[in-house]
Amino acid sequence: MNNSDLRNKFTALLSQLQGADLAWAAGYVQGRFEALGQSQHVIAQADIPQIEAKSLSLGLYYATETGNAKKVALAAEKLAKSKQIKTKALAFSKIKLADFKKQDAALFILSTHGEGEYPDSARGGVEILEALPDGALQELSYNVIGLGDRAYNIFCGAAVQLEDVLKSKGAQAFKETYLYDVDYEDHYAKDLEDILSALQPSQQQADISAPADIAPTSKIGSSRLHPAIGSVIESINLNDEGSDKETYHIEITYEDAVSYHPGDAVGIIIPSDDTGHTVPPRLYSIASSLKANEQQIHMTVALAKHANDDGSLGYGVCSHYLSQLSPGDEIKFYIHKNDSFRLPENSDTPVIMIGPGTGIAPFRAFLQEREATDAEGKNWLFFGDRTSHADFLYQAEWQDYVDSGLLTHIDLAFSRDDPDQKIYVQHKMAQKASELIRWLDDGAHIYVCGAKDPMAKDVEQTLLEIYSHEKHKTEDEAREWLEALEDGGRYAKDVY
Amino acid sequence: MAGNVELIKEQSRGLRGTIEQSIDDKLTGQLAKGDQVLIKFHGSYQQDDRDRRDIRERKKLERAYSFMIRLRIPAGDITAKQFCDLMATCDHYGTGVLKITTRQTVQIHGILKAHLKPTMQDFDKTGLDSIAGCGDVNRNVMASAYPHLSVAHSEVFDFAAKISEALMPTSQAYSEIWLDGEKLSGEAEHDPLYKTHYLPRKFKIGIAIPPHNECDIFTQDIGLIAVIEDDKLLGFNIAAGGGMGTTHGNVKTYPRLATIVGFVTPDRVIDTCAEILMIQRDFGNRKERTFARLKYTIDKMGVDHFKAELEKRLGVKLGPAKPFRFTRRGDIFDIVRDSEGLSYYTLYVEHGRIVDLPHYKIKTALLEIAAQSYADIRFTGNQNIMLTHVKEIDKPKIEAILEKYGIWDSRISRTRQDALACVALNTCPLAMAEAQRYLPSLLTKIDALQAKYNLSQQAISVRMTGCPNGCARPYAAEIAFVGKAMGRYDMRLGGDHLGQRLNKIFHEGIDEAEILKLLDGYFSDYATDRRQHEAFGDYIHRMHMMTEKTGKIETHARQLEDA
Repeated sequence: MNNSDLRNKFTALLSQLQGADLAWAAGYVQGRFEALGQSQHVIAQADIPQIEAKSLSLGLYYATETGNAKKVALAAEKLAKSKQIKTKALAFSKIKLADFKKQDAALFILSTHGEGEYPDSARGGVEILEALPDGALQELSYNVIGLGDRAYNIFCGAAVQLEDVLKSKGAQAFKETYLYDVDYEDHYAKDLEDILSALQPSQQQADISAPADIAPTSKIGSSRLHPAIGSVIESINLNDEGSDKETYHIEITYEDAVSYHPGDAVGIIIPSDDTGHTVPPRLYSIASSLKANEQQIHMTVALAKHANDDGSLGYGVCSHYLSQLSPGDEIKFYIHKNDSFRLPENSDTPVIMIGPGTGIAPFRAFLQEREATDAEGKNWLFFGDRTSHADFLYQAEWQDYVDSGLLTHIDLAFSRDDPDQKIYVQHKMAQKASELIRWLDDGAHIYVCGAKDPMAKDVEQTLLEIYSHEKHKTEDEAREWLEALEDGGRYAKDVY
Repeated sequence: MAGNVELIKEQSRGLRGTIEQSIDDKLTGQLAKGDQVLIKFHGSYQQDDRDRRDIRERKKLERAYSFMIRLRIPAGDITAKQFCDLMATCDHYGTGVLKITTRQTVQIHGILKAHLKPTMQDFDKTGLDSIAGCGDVNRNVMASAYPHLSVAHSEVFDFAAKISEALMPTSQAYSEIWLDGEKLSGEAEHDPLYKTHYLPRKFKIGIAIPPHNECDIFTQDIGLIAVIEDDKLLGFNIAAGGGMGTTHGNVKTYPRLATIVGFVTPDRVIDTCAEILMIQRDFGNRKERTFARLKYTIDKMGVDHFKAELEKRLGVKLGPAKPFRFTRRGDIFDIVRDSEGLSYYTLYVEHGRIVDLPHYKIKTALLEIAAQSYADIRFTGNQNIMLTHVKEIDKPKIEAILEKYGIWDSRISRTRQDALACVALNTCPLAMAEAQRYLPSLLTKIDALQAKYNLSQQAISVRMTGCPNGCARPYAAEIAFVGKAMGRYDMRLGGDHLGQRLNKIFHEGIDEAEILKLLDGYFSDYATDRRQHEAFGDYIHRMHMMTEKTGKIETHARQLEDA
């Protein structure tokens, strides 16, 4: 503090505080500090136990929504190993209580879904912890890293909740909790260094030149805080007359050095309205490949409609904003990486893509990429919507891909074509059960994109049923099989 | 071209092809190429909305494919219940506009591939089908709609259904594909009439009861002219080899009126039709579809040779044709009675489109009448509608409904009442120009020209088609517009009012301004120079013949000077 008078008063005040009061003051100050608009930081903890120096083992658990938490976890694993700390990054849902006893400490890295909710992949782990009696984790020494977005009212809610659970079970934090905004990439490498060093107080600060793949870079288009500016070159409602849906195909071009991979999402920054009211950015799976469309991003945006309280028709803020764009309009965006939703590294590996409705978007990117790179792997697409006549998103492109042989199979489910029965993608999967399993036996990766509920759940249930039926396995065995696929990076979901 | 279609027919296993697989293919709203040919024999055409091609391309959708289904309704006769059912199907799966064709049947447009089967099943439930609605087979059989013409009318009328039944393909493919009928195993059904290749081209039959010629029987492959004496049906004069289709720029193509080859008694008329059909099957051109109609077959054989072949196959000589006389081709927009005292109302339907217009709610009126079973329904060859079998007691109710919805509008000109237009844009794949969507507005301008020269009481037959294939029988009109390009038509003049003389091309590829300017001149001359009761087409023909003889232009001199 520059003002010595203030500083004296402050230290005098602090000297009267102890224990919980001191912790409260620290948190309070931190909160004030953040309220002033600082982007990143740190809730201090009152009692930070020191860990004895020895050959350490660390439980490393992540719960990820789009792959960012997993990315940080993998970086942590790599760094820990370089420090001779024994560890392996595991999905939080795979947590085993017995392991806690064998480990010296646990590091939890988790993102937050929507307004402060746990990501799906955290729920199983949280339930296990919550079921424990109070004080059951007294032996556990932990640290939590939260990934979030300050554009939401509840920031890093999942991490904060988890910490409450851990504390209520008696666990002790060995380092203050780190809560990151969308610019986490600028910070986490150094913070991981600090966290892991806290486990090894006697050791020297680790090598500053961290591995290149976790070196932070802050560049244009990398986050909400560093948006790129693009220009709309096409906006067209893909649905034809007679449809009760509006799905916009929007193409943006840009001049900045923005790069992305098929599977990534684009974050759209919605201009504040006349009253200055701002809303959080929205993410849309990118529907294009840079290899096919240089300096362009394509999106497939369903105009969200709902009934207002007064009965009038209301629209989703972001999809409505996007639907109103015309060629030439400026748009602010950033790339939201999704490393857990990637084409197989081996271009010969077959892929199965299940993407009804706007869930088709990343698969358009996948297929563009596979076409542009002459990938030899087989491609099987499942798509569905209401009517084939008016709601068949990108129909002409799939026809071309079938003709060229890029699409090995396409299976289609139009729920309103048949007056007698509603057919959905999972029904088409069930019809092709044995071939689907054959593809998976041959190493195919399987992807699901679109509505979480009920589509992705129905699709997953169907996959389990198909497997247990075709392979004569129990439900549990089928579940283990699917989990193994997921852990091996062969079953990925991008659902919302 | 023809070779391809011939091969598709041969390999179709009795018109089955791969239609069922095509319907199951959800990737496209189209059928496979070969099935697009075969489905015509089931009464359906694949089309696309040509107005929406550009926008669909931008939407990354294929063309807006849909299907037209044309029913088989011999002589255009259906019950009130069938009419209500058809309208419901049309509203549910089609565009909601039931279209009366120039062959006394109806067609529904805009049916999506996924809805073909339920639509056909709807037809079946109400006792109708679309077998042979299109394709290289005998099409819907026409017959004179007016019962007051003779007490023998119903006897003649019934021949339409008998001939239609007799000349249907034997294949059960229709039932199998659309009605979940039993699947064929092994060889396709033997068809003694059509064999494996069916006909080289479409085949049309119409029956007229003089003095009416609403079926335009000289434009048909076979025209039957009923010969009735003292209310007794003696038989039919047989006319053969009529046909309208031509191709722009191909001078070897021509429209032709049917030639009368003789007379047969009623017991032989079905055999005679079948034998003519089989002569066409055996002698017709299967190399070039352009020259495959019976008219070219007969001209190639020579009429005498054709007649000899027919008599040889029939095993008897045809009798000499009996005298007959036609006086009318247009509909009678009035009430007529049959011999049993039942009444028949003919109602105007603009270009056969049963759809409500702001001041002419024909669809609502017909549905109200049919729902109460006040009348059955008959379609006329002029694309109008007849309320049939009306009892005396129901007449006031019917007339109140007609009054309520503005039907029987005396403001509709006589020329407009008789006008015909084909479908053309936006659904017909052959169309080069507009027809049914454009002719109404052009007629308003022609009405004004007639009024200008005090000719409004004169009915002039005006017909328009979007291409030269002749669906609205343009070559037998007094004034015909045959589409050549968007907004441009060949104007043909000098046909007679009864369908017994073809018109000739007078002006090629002209636009509306030129059409109106030229007609202004012709009407002016006609108003001044015509003989008593001389029809417009006859006047033009007379002047044209004179011009040809003298080498001088006697008429429309004024416009040529203006130009």
